[in-house]
Amino acid sequence: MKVERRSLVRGLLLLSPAIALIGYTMYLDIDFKTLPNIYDPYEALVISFLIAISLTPSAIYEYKLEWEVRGAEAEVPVLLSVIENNLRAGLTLPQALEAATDYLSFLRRDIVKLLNTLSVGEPIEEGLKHFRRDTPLLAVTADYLRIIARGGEELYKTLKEFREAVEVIVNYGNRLREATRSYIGAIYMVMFVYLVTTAVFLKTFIYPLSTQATASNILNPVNAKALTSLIIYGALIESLINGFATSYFTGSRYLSSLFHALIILFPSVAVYAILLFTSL
Amino acid sequence: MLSNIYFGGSKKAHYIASAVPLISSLTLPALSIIGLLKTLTLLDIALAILTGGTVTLIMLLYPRFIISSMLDKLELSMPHLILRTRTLIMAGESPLQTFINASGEIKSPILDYLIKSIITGETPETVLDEIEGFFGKKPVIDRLKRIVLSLGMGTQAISFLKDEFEAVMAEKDNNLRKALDSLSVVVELYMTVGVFFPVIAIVLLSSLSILGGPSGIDVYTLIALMIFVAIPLFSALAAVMAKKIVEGAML
Repeated sequence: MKVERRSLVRGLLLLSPAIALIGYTMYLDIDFKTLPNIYDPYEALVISFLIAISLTPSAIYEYKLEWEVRGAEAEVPVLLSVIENNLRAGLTLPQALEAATDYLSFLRRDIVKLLNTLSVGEPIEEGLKHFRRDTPLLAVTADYLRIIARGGEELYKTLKEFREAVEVIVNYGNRLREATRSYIGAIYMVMFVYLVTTAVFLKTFIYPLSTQATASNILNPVNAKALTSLIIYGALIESLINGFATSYFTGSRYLSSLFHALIILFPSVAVYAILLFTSL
Repeated sequence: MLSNIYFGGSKKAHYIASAVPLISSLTLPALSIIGLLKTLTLLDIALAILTGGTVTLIMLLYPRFIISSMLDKLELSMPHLILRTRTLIMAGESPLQTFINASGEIKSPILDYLIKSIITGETPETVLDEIEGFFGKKPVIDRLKRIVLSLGMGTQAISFLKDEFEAVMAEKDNNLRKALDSLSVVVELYMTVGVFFPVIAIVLLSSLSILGGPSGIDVYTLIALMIFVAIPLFSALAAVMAKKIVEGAML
């Protein structure tokens, strides 16, 4: 998919929670002549669930893009290594590329398209139009394949040096990701703490107090519904923000951590729903 | 033109234009003192000065922000620029043409300016001196200068670019270590203020509001403000800081 079209799809998918929220507000306005009330816990649950559902395609798409780009980058040294070995063994570039497809999964489709273009007699430039250029490394690789297609012993000598340089870049990227991977675990941990603390607090302190205690000189009345609603919105906002922030913390090119945000958000909505329907 | 980032294309004109909002806002108290504007309160004057000062500050900082972003982009693309140039030279292409082609693939306003100037007939040395004069002495500009000047060395440029690539990657390694240290501080701060603090605040505020007597403070509004305003604002700030740190270490 072209980069511009992909950006458009990403933008539209990321906008879907806002569209869902506007739709829900319009539904409330038309059918009940009312607007969402931030202190109503049932509405908070519906809104959180709607946002989680509408964000799911975007989260999956972002995760898929990141996964594919990382996979493709990791496969570049393998591709170059197989090409190098096969060219040294006397094979032509199309034969070397075909041999490389056995070792590739993320770049396989691009190489097969390239081979198909070459097989019908088109120049390699035409085939490389389909080669992914999402990152600078992939773009350099595509350009390098164009150069190597010219053939000649001198060019083949460049393969080893180019592959080594690419390996340095890929290893560097891996080190950055390895070092920041623990942040995802930490985000899960803190959200778990938020969920457990607030659920226990509501169940053991707020709900009994709201049903049994009456206002007195030392106790103020408690609005359990308003507090539950705010806590649900807190979980929603924390999950979404964690999803966006962790994507930056881990150096992702896309918002791939939104996927983790949803893994946190769905159980949170379920826990608060059980709590709400069994206690209030 | 690189100077286009300044208002009117000139540094002096930009600084003069930046001072206008602040000076305008300072005329209000002056008019009030001489009695031409009697209806102004102290709050009105303070707000006017604050707004004028903020606009002036933003206008003054804007070029610095753009310059920093341009230098960051060039720094980020340096390993790929060197790798691409070296590979094309090894493949037998003309060094200067190779550099122009390689730069064309990279989205960097500094490289765009350099290439446009070379294509329109200026010598690379002159353009690089002009770039250095505009940005000042910066390591990334020095590196760019070295790379461009090495293109005149013929095939020796290949080994020079190899050394330069290794030097860039060694520098990136150092930056990565520093970035990870800074990032861990940001992440810890983010978790403490962005996640643990709200939990503690919700529990404490709601408990104390129940146990204490009537205080006149609306606890629910306070919690709502924290959840809908404070947390998103703080998290956005942490995310921007993290993005800046990680981008410096990324390739």
